[in-house]
Amino acid sequence: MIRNAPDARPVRGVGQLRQAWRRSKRNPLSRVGALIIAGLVLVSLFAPVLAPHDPRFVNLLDQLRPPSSAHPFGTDSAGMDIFSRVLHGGRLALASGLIILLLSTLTGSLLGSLAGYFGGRTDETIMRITDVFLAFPGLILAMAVVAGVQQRSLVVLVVAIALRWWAPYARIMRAQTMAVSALEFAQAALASGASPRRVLFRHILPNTISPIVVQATLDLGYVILTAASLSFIGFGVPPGEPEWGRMIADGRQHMRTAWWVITFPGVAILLTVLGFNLLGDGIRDVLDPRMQGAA
Amino acid sequence: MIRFSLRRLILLVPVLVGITLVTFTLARVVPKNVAYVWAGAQGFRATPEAAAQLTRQYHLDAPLPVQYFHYMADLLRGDLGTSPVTTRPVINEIKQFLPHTVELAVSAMLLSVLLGLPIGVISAVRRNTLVDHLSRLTALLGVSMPVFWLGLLLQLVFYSWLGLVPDPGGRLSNRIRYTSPVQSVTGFLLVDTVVTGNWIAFQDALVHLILPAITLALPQVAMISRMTRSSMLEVLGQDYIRTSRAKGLSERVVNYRHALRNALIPVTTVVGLSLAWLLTGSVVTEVVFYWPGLGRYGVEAILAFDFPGVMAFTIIAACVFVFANLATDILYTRLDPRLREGG
Repeated sequence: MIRNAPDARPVRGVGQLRQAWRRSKRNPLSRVGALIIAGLVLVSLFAPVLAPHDPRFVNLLDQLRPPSSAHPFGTDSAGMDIFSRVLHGGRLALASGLIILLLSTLTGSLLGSLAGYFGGRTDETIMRITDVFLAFPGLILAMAVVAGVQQRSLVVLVVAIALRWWAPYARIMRAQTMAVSALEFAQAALASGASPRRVLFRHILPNTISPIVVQATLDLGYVILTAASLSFIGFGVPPGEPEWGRMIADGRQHMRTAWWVITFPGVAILLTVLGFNLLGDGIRDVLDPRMQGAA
Repeated sequence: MIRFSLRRLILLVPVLVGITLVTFTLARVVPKNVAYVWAGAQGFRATPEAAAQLTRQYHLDAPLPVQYFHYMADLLRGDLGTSPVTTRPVINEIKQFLPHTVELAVSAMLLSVLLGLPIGVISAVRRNTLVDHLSRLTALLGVSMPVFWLGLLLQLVFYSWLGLVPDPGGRLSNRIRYTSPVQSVTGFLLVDTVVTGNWIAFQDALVHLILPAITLALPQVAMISRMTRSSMLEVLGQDYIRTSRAKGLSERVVNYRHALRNALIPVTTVVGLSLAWLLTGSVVTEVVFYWPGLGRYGVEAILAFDFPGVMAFTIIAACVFVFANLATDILYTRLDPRLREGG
């Protein structure tokens, strides 16, 4: 029987990441990915310094201006500076992506390790709940959340996406916990009188974290893409916010006369997701020996 | 085989119940008085009387478990409820919107297999040539591309700049409704126009399908060609391939008869899963192209506080997703001889 393949792919240690970088010489594209991501992180950190204008400053005298030295990416229909908005958008994308992943990995790890460690009824219950959440495509469940809450905000966006995203991590963590708790050191800790709780949180969990971290790194690009899609269809951040998907939605009615309104935020999303995919490909190459030299 | 499929189907029952439970809870997660909104949407004045009437009709004053019970009782009879916004049965609306999504998804699926498979195979057979590098680069861009942005760019280029396609909005041009109206037989426009011999409308419907189908297909083309390539390379490295070469079989026979067959097994998984992801993609694509499909219906239902509509949309989407995954699993088990006995 096969587990749903892409979700449950086991990935090995974070310690191998360093090795991965060394070996990535053979895969120069993954280095390009790493550079794109490094650039994104830097730009996001220093967005307030780098941005020439306030990303929310409305200037009705400067509507839909084409790219110029004052506005390198032009201005949108409210006269806001697109360059500054794209920079701040990177901040928003990266921050929301990281928070979503943090929430989902924590929830997924906790539930998955409980299921894997205690087995039996606990396992059964937790995994059935996981199955239910895995049954929803991510964007669809996020839409249902917004439908219920009827609010548009960054908090809703983060929660709406994280509500589906934890489930694959629970599966990975369950398998990992089962494997690790069968190892001798875990048995020894239990035999020496440590409580099951202590064994789980002190001995087993620290040894199961790395596959989750690696998987989360691989997923970051996809999370950012989902968040942007949700915002684009109108269920993410409120209008006017410097979020890439939202900017494209706000700009689409002017795209025929002002191509730059949708072009630059789109390029930003494409580059970001591409960066994470290139990086992920490199990591996968190194970690999955079956694919060695294949990709 | 049949026992395996049956067991998987039975295991699905709790998941399906869970889907309805989660959807229902989400739709009612925040207590709010929607009766007034609904009364307003139906064109009444939003008076307390109208609101009270709707509250009774939709059991809004009952405790949540009772409301869920009512909903499930209806659902099991195949009744998705009546929209409090449009006052039409939800099932009728679904019947109207769903065929458009199916048409879009099926065309995108065909396009992605027809393009993705050959690209992947050629890429693997001519490994590390220019063709290979180009197709891998395109595939990488394809999986990283935001679907909605791609759709808008295609509109910009092919409609605004080149003028090659008609106004990329909706399923048909407006004038068709007056010049050659389509008689609804199945709800699938391409089928209906052929059956009734309405060639003008058929052509219009086909032209409107092109850009949305390409938009929806491109990320899948990328996924399928990537998977085909790596699966093909893995198979080409195996001993039996070396043996067949040693036997003196031609490159062509080795590549296409011996290697491709086995390489296709993992590809079916990707194709099956992509069917499920087409659903997510179609929501975004339908918003971009004003396509009157299920995704657009879901978006409109959310905007209008149409809870029965939202629940129907979510439940249908989740069910399609679940069944597509199940079908993929079963197919995979059937195709891979190594898994046939153990299942």
